[in-house]
Order: sequence, then structure tokens, then C-alpha cells
Amino acid sequence: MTHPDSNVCDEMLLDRYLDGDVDAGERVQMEAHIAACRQCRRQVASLEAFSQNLNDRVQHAVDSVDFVALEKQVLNKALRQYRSRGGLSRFVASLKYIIPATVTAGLLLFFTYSNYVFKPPPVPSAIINSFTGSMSSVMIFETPETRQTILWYTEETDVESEPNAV
Amino acid sequence: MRYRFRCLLVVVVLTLSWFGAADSLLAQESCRISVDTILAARNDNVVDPKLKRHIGELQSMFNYTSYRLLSSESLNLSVGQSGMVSLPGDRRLKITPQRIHGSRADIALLMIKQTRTVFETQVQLLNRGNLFVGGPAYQNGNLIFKISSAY
Amino acid sequence: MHDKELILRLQRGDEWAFQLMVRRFRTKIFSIAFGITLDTEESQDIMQEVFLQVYRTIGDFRGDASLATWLHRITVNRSLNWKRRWARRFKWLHVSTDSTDGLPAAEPESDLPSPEIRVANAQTRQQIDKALKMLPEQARTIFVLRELEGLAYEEIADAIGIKLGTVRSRLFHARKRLREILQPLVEEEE
Repeated sequence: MTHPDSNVCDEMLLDRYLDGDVDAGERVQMEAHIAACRQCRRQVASLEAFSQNLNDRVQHAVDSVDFVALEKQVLNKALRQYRSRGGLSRFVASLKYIIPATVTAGLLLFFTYSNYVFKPPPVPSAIINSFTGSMSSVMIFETPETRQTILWYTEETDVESEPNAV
Repeated sequence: MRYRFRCLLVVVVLTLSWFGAADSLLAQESCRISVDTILAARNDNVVDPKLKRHIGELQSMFNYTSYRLLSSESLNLSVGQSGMVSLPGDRRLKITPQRIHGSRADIALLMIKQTRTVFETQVQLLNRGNLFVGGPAYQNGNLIFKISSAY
Repeated sequence: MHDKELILRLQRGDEWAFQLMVRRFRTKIFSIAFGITLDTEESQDIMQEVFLQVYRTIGDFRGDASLATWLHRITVNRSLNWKRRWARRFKWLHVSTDSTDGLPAAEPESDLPSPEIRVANAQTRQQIDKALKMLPEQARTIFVLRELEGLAYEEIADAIGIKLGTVRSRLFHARKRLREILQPLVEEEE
């Protein structure tokens, strides 16, 4: 992924550098390369200038819009949408959905019941296959609903321990 | 006719197998590992704005009152390639993806403090899932390392 | 108001919550739509459609992504579909003979002073539009989400529904294409 020779131009690495998607070693390498390579310096400057101009361009478009008026329009349309669903029209509109809705509800109940009985458990975010270390304690937890995995350890040299962190 | 049909069947089976193998070969050769270092404490109520997205999750898991993001680092690692992340308190975390299969990546983690290995673990991390590793004491709180992978 | 509470209120049909959501996200949605379509009018329409769709379908929102990510997804889909929609309709556009690609005529210069460092004049705006239009739509979308919204790769992948590797490669190709487009301008400046 990274070139050992920092004199070689690597466009992909340059892109990742611009996005901050590099590790410390790659960052140092890129900074050294950019300092020495005029072409890459120009490219960085040009892309950064373009990005800035793009932001300005969009800001200019944003400034030309009357958002207050637009907001009113959206709210009115949304409320009209909501209100038109009321009264007789709601009843009439709902008629054509009753039968398929009932059938769907029946099917859903059936499948939900089946899934509830044989419900597969949600998956843990991480499965610890093995663990070795020199520490005074280690605990592995999972949050009940989202099953996020927590590995909590206390180093031997720690003066304070935190048994009640979780 | 029979012979042609058998040939066609063999071709179809080989083609489908190739697509299956290609998918698993091409899609999972590298992954991006992110390590966020969070300082969690109970002596104040500061929540780092950069952790705003994760604060609900953190508060549901831990009973600290403040969370500060000390550092955030990402590594793009190929399978078999190791990367090192520097952590506070003269610690380093060595990360080696070993295999990527389906929705999980097998990752070896080695926590080092100064020159000593603190722990070594092999985990299967869900794609875009998180593993929270904590909590060595640091300054006025505890460190929590949020390790996530994406591929 | 935290997202979770906002969503709950929206699902209960709370009008004030809807107004809050519109106010919170209107600029972001408009910006993304404009970055993709480069059309102010269409972007305003898209913005309205996004909010109306959210209003209609908030009950279906499962919370598997954040509200912002969900809005990104809807905005990107509507923006990418707008061209196909307009191909089927007939639309009058009043254009000056100087503009290209059906862009509306350049608006009159504002009386307000422009910042000296960032030169946001009509010529620069047209250059930006031209450069962006030369990018394929999918690449432009990713570039806009990255440069305008500052989304991380994973967030972009979630918004568009593609793999992380695809985000990386499309962004690389977008920047590569932009380098080629901007090269003559850089040389001209020197």
C-alpha cells in the first residue's frame, strides 16, 4: 500500500492523506514527499482550492434560496397531506386496504409467532476466541439489547481498579 | 443432446462456483481498522462533541459522566499485515487481520505497555461492529479503546 | 432535541417536531441536492420532496441508521433520479445564449462586497459547475458527500448503499478526473 521510496508519487495514498485516512507512518511519509515534490504540492493545492470553491459555490446557491418561504410551503403541503386523510376520504381510501391488510396481518402474526418461538438471537459485535495476558482481572460483557462486546481488564500495575465501571 | 446438456451443466456449475469464489477472494483482502481512544471519568460532565454520535451507546454501557476523545486512528491493513497504534500511557496496540469471511473479520490484537505484553487476544469482529476494550487507569479516569472494522 | 426524541415525536405526528426537523436539515439537504444536480430550482423541489417523503414514511423508520443518514439516502436517491424524471417531462428554461448545458443565465452581481480571498464570482462558479458536470454522476455524488458534508467513508457507503471499497475507488477516480480537468487551469495560473 505504501511505497518505501517517498520520492514516488502515489495518487491513491495522496487521496487517503487528503481524507485523513492514513496512519502516523504514512502521514510522515506523505508530508515529506509533498515537501519535496512540486507536482504533488500543486495537486494538493489545486484539489484543496477546488474543494473550497465548491463549498463557496454551494454556499452561494444556498444564499440565493428563501428557506423561510420554502419551509412554509413544505409545512403546508405536509399538513394538507395529513388532513386529506381525515373524514370520509380516509374511510373510502381505507376500504381498499382492509382485506389485504387483514390477510397481511394474519400472515405477519403467524410468522412473528413462529419467529418468537424459534427466535434466533441477535449476533454479538465481537466474539472473543482466545485471550491470554498478565493482568489482575479481566471480564467480558455484552450489552443486553445491542450485544456490543466489552472486554474490561485491570493491569497488574494499576493502583486503582474500576470494578463498577459497567 | 445428452452430452451437450451435461457440458452445459458443467459450465454453469463452474461459472457459479467461480463467481462465489471470486466474490470471497476479491471482496475481502483488506479491511480498515479504526481505534478511538476515549478517556472516561466521573469527576465532571464533559462530553467531547466528536463523540456525540456515540454518546448514547457509551452511556448505555458505562456509568461514567464524562467522555473525551483523546485520539482516533485508522489503519488500512491487508490480511496478514500488522499495524501498530500508539496509545496513551506508553501503550501500543498491534493489530493483525488474519481472515475475512462473510460478515466477520478474524483479528489478532496485542496490547503492549512499555516493553511488556499486557494481553493477546483473537477476536471475530463483525463488519462495522465495535469491540470496546477498557479500562486501564489514566490521569483521572479510565481509558476505553473502541475498535471497529469495515471492509 | 436529541434525534431519538425527535423521531418519536415525528412518528406521533407532532407538527412542531416536523418544523424542527425541516429547520435543522434544510440547508444540508439542499446542499447535497445542489451538489449533485447543480440546479437551484430542482434542488429546492428535491428538498421539499425529501421532507414530504419523511413525513409520509417516518412510521417505517426502524432506527437502524441515524436520522441524518436516512435523510442522506433519500436525498441522494431523489437527486440521482431527477434527471430521469425530467427526461420524461417537458420543461421550459429561460437561458441566455452565453450559458452552456442549459444552465440559467448568470445572476446579476450582488451589491454586497465579496471576500477577497475566496473569489466567488460568476466565472469561478461556472468553472466549478463545468468541472463537476464532467464527473460521472455516481462519482460526483461521492465527491460531494465527502467534500461538502465531510462524511466518512462508512457514512458515504451507508448513504448510497455501496461497499466501503467502492467508495474509496470512486472517490479516487473522481479526484483523478478532477486533476485532469484542473490541470490546464493550474498551468495557466503559473
